[in-house]
Amino acid sequence: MKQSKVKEYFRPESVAEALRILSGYPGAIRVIAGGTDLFTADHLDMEALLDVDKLGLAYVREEAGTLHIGAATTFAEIAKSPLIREKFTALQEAARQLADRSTRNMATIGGNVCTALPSGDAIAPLAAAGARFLTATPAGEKRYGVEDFFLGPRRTVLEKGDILTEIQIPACGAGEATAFEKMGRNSEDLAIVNVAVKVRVNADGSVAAAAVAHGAVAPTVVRSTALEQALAGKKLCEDCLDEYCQLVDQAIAPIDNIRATAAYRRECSRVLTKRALLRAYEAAGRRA
Amino acid sequence: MKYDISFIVNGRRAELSVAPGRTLAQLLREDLRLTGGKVACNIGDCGACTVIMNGKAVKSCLVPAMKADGADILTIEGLGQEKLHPLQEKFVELAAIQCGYCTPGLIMAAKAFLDENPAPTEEEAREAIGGNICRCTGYVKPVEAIMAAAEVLRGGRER
Repeated sequence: MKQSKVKEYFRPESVAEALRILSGYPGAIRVIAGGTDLFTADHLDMEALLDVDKLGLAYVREEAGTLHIGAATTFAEIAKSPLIREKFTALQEAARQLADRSTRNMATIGGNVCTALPSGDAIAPLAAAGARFLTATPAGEKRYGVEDFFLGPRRTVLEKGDILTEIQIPACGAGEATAFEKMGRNSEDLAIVNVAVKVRVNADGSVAAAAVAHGAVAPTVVRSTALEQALAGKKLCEDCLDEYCQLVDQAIAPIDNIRATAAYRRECSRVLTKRALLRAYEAAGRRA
Repeated sequence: MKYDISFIVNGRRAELSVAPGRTLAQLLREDLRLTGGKVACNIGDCGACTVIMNGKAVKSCLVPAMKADGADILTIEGLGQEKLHPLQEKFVELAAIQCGYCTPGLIMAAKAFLDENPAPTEEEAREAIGGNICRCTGYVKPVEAIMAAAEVLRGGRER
């Protein structure tokens, strides 16, 4: 038996019904989407599962310059969405590198966010792009920024009874672009490090604003604010980025573990940041 | 508590009573005795348990059995029931099998992929089986077999 203590499985067809079940269930109940993280181990503390796959939360659409992604949208859908490719390239690049094709058919963006691993491939792009998370709770709908949502490894602000329903992201407009880079041990593994950036360029080719978010190098995804500030007003090139990307060191606090050493993570973070910034900068220039 | 679920497997309706903590792999292998797909790593890394659910390749060791309710599932046993599927034929013909343990999973992943992309590049075929571990072949023969089967499926001349 995979989940040997699970006695009940709920598959409600509306968010309202899901909230009622979650708040009324007397034991330990967990929200599940694709199941690809949860079902890698037997969780002896779980008595019931609530599956969100019938809640109508699988969609990608744009409204007034904002991308709306349903929490139960799979990475396979995100990877092939023309809208995501055009207006949130970093997320498409992350979706195409996350695990493997079969896993991406089940794994969802909401699952990646709520699992809240520091290495979660969707999280760095969402942090760089300034995403907002919408949750349904017994007290009504709530909205969180990335900086408020993640509390630590596998910890978010969600409490029992809450469901992440939608992620909202400002769509990339003229002169803006995003990029994602990841280093892993093999094609399926969690990231050793990952990084996502968003760059906006001025008409003269200088950087108007840059956002840089690093994964797998701190308890949560972190932004490189010193680097972001240093880039403002600059024209980017490979040589000057070698210097600016030293500032990544100030933002990150990597650890040694089975996947890599802290020193290697620092080096990789700098290199991947440079690559991502160059690609996003050039793409933003083409879109100006 | 057990739940009554109903789904299509290999073209036939199955009705089963299932405990909610089980996986699709357990349902197929232990309850329905469809043991073609294997469970090796049981954590979604190796791909030996790959089956097709609603047209998409999935790792059945990670899929809650409850998600089978209402689904249409194809396993290696349902592929080429009367005559071998071109993928099966080409795996045999080109010796893309050594120990054979990964083969059902590889073929199901490749089947779902070719249904979506009938004219892939070799690079795309490699990426499509990125979640299927084979320790014998080094992937060269399986990739050749997938490319050859794609050609047959497109109605092209056999190599």
